[in-house]
Amino acid sequence: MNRDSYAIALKTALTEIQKAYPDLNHSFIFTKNENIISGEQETDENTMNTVLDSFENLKEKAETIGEIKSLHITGKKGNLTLSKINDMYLVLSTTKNMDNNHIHAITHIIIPTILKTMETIESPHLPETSTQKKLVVDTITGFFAGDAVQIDTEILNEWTQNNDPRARIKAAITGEPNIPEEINQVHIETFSGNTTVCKVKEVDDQNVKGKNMIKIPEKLAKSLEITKGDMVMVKPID
Amino acid sequence: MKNTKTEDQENETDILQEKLQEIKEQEGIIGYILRNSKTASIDLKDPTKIIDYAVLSSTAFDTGNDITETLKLGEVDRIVLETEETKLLSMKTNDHNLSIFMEKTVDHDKLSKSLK
Repeated sequence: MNRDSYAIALKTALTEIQKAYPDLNHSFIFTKNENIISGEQETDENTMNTVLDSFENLKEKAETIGEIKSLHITGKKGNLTLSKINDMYLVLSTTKNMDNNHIHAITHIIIPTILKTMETIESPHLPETSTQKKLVVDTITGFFAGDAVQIDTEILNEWTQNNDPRARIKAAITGEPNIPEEINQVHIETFSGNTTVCKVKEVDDQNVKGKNMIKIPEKLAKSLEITKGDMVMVKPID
Repeated sequence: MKNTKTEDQENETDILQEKLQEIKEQEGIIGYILRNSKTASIDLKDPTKIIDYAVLSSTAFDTGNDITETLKLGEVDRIVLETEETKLLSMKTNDHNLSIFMEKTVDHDKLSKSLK
C-alpha cells in the first residue's frame, strides 16, 4: 500500500466518521514533520495548512515543557481537539454539542484501530514471502578474516525493511525513508544440513556487490564443510 | 463613573491574584503568568524558565486565536495543552490572559471552574 493509498483510505475513514458524528465539522491528520496526510472531503487545503502552521509555531515554543501530546481549544462556538497518535496528529474541529466521549472514541479507539488495521492489511503484501536468501559462497582468507561473514548492503537493507511492517507502514504514511534497524547476526544453513549463527557486516569488496554472494571466513567455511562456489541459505537473526 | 469601573476592575484583579496565590500552593502547580495590556504578574517555581514560559503562554493565545478564527470556532474561552508530564491551562479572565503551568496529574477542569 503506497502513500496515496493510505491517504485515500484515511480520507474515506474520516469522511465516514464525519457522517456518523454530525457535530464534527473538520477532521484531518498530519505528521510530526508537517506533512498533511488526509482530510475529510469538507476541509480544504488552505484551512488545514493554516491550522498546521499555527500549531507548528506552538509546538516549537512548547518544547520547553516537552512534546505536545494533545491540544484542546474551547471556543465560544466550537472546540478543537488535536491528539498525537503514534507519529501523527489528528485534528478534530467540533461544535459545542459534540460529546467528549465521542471525541475520546475517535481519538483513542477508532483512528488508532484504523491505523492498526492498515498495518495488518499491509503485512500479507510484503514483497518477499521469506527472508531467507540463497547465496553463493566466497571465502575470506588471511590474518584479518575475522569471524563475521560479509553480505551485500542491499540484502541487509531488504531484510531489515521486510522484517518490520510497522516501520514500512510508517514510511508509507509519512513519506519518510524507512531507515533500517541494524542486523548483527545471520543464520547460515548449508545444503548438507550444517548450520551456524554468526556475526554479519556489509561486504567491503566492490567486486562482490550485487552478485548474491556471501563472504565467509575460511575457518568458518571449513567448520560448515563448504568451499568457494557452494550455495548456502542465509536468513537474518532479529 | 469611569473611576468606579476602574475600581471594580482593580478589585476583580485583586480577587483573582488572591485565588492564584491559593492555587499556586496546591500540589503539582508549577506557576502562573497573568497579563493584560498594562501589567504582568509572573510567579514560577523555576525563575530561570520565565522567558520560555512567557513566550509559550503568549504563543498559546496567538495559536488559539488563529485556529478559532480559521475554523470559525468563535472567541477563545480556554486552551489546554498537554505534554508527557506537564499541562498548560490558558484562559481569559477579567480582561487578563492567564496561563497556569501544572503537572499532568492536576485537574485543570477544577482549576478552570474555580477561576471563572
